[in-house]
Amino acid sequence: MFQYPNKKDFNRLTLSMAGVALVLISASGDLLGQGGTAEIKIETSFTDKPVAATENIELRLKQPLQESDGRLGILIGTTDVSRLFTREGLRLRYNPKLWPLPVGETLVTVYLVSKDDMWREIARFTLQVKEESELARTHPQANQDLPGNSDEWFFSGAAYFGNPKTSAVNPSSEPESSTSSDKQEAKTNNHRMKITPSLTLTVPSQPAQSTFPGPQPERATFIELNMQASMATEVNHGAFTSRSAFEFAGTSFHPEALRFETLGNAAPRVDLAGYQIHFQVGRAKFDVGHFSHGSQRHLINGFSSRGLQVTVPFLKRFDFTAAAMNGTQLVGYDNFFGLSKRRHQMRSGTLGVELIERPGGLRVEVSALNAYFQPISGVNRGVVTDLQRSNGIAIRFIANDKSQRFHFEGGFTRSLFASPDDLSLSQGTTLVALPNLTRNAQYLEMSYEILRNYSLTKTKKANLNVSFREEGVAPLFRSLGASTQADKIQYELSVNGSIDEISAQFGYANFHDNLRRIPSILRSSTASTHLGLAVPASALLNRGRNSAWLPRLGYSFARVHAFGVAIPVNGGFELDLSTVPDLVGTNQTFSADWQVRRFTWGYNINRSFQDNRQTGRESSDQSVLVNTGRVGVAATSRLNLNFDLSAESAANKETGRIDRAYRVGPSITWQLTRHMGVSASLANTIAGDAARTSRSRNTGFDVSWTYRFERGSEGLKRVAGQFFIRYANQYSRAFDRIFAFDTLNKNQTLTANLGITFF
Amino acid sequence: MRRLLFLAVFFISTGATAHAQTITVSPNNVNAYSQGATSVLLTFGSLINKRPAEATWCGDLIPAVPDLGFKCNPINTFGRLPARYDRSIQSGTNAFTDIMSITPQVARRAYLDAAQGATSTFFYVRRFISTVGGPDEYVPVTIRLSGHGARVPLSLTEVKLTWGVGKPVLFVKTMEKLPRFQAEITFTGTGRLKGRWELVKPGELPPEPRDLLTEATLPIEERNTQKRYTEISRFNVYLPPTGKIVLPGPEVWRVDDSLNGLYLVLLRIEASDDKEGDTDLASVGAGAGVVKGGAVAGFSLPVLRYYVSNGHYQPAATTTTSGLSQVSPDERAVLPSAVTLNFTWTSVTKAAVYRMEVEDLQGIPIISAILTSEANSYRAPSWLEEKVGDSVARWRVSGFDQAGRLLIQTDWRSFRFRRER
Repeated sequence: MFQYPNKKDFNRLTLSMAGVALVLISASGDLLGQGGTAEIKIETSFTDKPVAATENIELRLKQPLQESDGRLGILIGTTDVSRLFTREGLRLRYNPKLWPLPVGETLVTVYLVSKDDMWREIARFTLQVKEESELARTHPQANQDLPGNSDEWFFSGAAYFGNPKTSAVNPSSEPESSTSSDKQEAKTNNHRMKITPSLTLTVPSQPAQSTFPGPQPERATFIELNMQASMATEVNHGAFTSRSAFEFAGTSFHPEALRFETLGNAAPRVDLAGYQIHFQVGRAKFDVGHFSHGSQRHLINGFSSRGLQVTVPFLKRFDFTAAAMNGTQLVGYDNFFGLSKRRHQMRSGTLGVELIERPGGLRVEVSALNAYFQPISGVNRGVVTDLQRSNGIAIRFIANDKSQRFHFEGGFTRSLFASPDDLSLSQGTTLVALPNLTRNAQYLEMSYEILRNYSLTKTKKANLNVSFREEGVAPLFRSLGASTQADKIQYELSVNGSIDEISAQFGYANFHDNLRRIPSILRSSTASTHLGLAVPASALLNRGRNSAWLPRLGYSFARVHAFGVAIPVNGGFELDLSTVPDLVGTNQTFSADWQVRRFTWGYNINRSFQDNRQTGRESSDQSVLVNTGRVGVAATSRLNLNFDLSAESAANKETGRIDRAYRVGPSITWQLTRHMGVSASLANTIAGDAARTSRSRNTGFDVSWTYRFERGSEGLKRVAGQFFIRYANQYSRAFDRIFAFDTLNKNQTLTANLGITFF
Repeated sequence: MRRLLFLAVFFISTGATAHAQTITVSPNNVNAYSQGATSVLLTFGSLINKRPAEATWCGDLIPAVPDLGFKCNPINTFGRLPARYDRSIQSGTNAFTDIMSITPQVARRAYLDAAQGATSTFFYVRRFISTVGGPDEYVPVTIRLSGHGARVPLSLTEVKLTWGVGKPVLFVKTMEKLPRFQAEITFTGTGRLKGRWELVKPGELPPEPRDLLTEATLPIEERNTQKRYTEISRFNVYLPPTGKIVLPGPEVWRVDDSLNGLYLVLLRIEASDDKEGDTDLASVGAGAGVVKGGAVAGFSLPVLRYYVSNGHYQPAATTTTSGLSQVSPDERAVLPSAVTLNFTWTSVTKAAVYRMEVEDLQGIPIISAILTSEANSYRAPSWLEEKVGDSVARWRVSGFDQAGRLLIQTDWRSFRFRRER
């Protein structure tokens, strides 16, 4: 059941809202001052009258558009149809033969697109499109010149413009009798509200099953009731817009409950899977629910969880973002705002400043973080961790030149990390005390586009980009908002280039650890080189575009050399020198992909070799070869076939053991009719070693038949359903002479499911 | 003194027998990451009339008299194996399989100990209680501090499955393609990561926690008994000694969403050949052979959920990518701010019209464009970045014939803008 957020959550939310409101009020003068100017006057052919979906409509300019002005961009609803208008003098005529108009009332928005691709809105109109039968009844003269075969147009166009009814403006705010110039002025009175509910009830059942070896499972046959529901809203009211989405899942079978893993039988059967609420008032944004936050590489970076976030731009060049989030990703009604657990929470704020007028030209961001995390994995994550706490600050610089060819980014982070007493680790004993430590991390990145769309010939263009990156993270550095590897300094150089469709990458990276050079800890150094090529064979052979039989080729090579710089003193390594690594690893991949009419096929080969060179481990080498192939056939628009094949081989030089695995995986998807479909797949993997000491076979077969139906139109009248029957068979056999086991598992299930979606 | 004790333990543990000590362990010494977690598969053998008790990490050892072996010095204790990572289980012939998951706090204590001048080795000591009233027995494993790469056992220390959209659970409509999911894996060591992506389909029994462990975390006799589900695809990739990898999920067209109900995506990791993680059963009297311990993990691997409903009825049409494919931006592209965005794709001969769509991950349209057959790109309006904001958006292209019928459609590709404003 729904549990209301606790009082602390509400207090925090109220404070946050109040803070945002204050900032918004202060910024409102700027926001309210916005308004479009309409230097270019436009009239339409569809003012004051409905039109048919296949009727030509026109826009007429009052004065000619100069070349220096740019061009017009025209949107019907949210669809850009500029390319479907042809210009004849001052007239712009829409071609409905290519794409019919959407039935219903829709907003047509006209933009002036400058030569540097800046879009500025100059006019809005209401377009009312009616079905031809209705149009013939209410406006007999309106569709006299319609082309024939209009039903076909109507079907496709109405479906693919999105939902015209829901994207229409509120008729009351823009009366039909208004003139086109009235409507140009009416654009600031844009009020819209859209609610999209959805409810799906499913009745999964298992009428039969068989499991070997026994005993048969407790839940051999069953019939259950499950539920999925969602509610999405979209509100536009002047400068205020909001979007929200709530999703719920319910089940009568407890182990499928969203929080069964953490709460067991106490988990609610109907629970909140997730939600997002986004408000925007002018340029200020407010997010509640699930989102990702942070762009400071070492402090907080892409942290995803549930919480609150506010972004407020102010004084033209400043913006401020603040967020408070739960320490891990979560689901469920509890901890609704993600702020209920003070000791499992992250709070962060970032102030950004554009130092020069050009956006992105030179920007500085200063961030702060305060976080306290319990040793919890959270949803969708498994981790080895313990109780942690960190506070930190970071500064980040971003610069781009005017042409966007040069990019610089650099950052510095200072973090105080504490390890509070973790009772699950101490278990009543006294542990060695851990001091709170403040450590630094920094990075810089530079890249430059030496060539950008440089014309080598009339048709061939070249691009070349060079980048350099340095990153240093002090020993024991840790910030809870970012995933970092401490005690490491790394340098990386990469070059990317392309000539038409041929592209190549080269990269070199070097890093080493044990920055404090502690004599008893191993200091290792790692150097890696990477080369990648992607090239269509047609381009390589200078053939034309119709060389369909020529594949697209790809090759990559990587070499890594990791070695101990010296033998540590008093580290235990001196007793067995093979514990000091000296490893060279290579990894090569070649791929070829074809696409000829309805057929696609591809081949991929990967080989890796680990060459151990340290004393005492010279022969501990391993080579792995993986071949994979795939053929896909789109036999008709309703029938798809796919066939996978793979062969893996791993050779251990030291033991002489060679392990192999072969997999075959055909699958088929067949839409028999508009309502009925069948799909089936088989996966068969056979593995074993060359000496035949072990062998295994795993086979999985799966076939399902579905029937779909739909009644009613869009919105609340709509009911859609699906019924399916599915048969699955899993077979697993394994034996091993050395470990002396021989296991056989078989499982067959027959499941049936009826799902009904309302709305 | 500590060095002498270490030498004593090392030679005792490698020298088969110690004074009155019967239980042995393999491996008895390993390298571990000095700045974070490491997990290692251990097998204790010859457990005659003994049962396992707690496991403790410490900086030095003292004789366990009157009990057997060496135990942790109580004034230099780093921690005890938390119950949440205790995957220990009786196995084989009088043997005991243990997963030693060194937590970050333990590694931190060991590092600071070494930084103060002590030897960098520390110990993991498992206590065994006599079931017949005899003395307890302490069995230590020696751990050396190093980096996270070569010569450290291949272990997974963090696995995060993500849709890349900030939401933990997805709701999708029948036949609507999902965003491509991925696994962000933090690991120690180097070697091959092999396994399968599997799908639990609506109506199937969900996996037990034991089914979600990596294969190497289980004793050898239990490795083929984990429940299997419909295989989506198989992977076998090389892990360089860099500590992190993003393992992409299968191509989106392989991930079924044709049935109504709850789907679970499982990441199944098979045991791989990794000499650093090998357990020699013969050396501890627990049978014959060497058990592979590559890709061990001290936790159950996470599961991704998504729900499918009939929210949208899709007319019968192919949704394969053959013939029509997106060129740029790439899947999961992070696009520079304040730069005009160009969507490009390859053209198909029969298409009379293309429709390019951009929407958010709730399926709310942001913009679409209708383009004639000669076009294979669309230059987005300058305000698109503002509309997308900090969210993740996705785009796809559909091709239609002269009669307006949907011919072909690409999968969705997600993108977002880099936060620079």
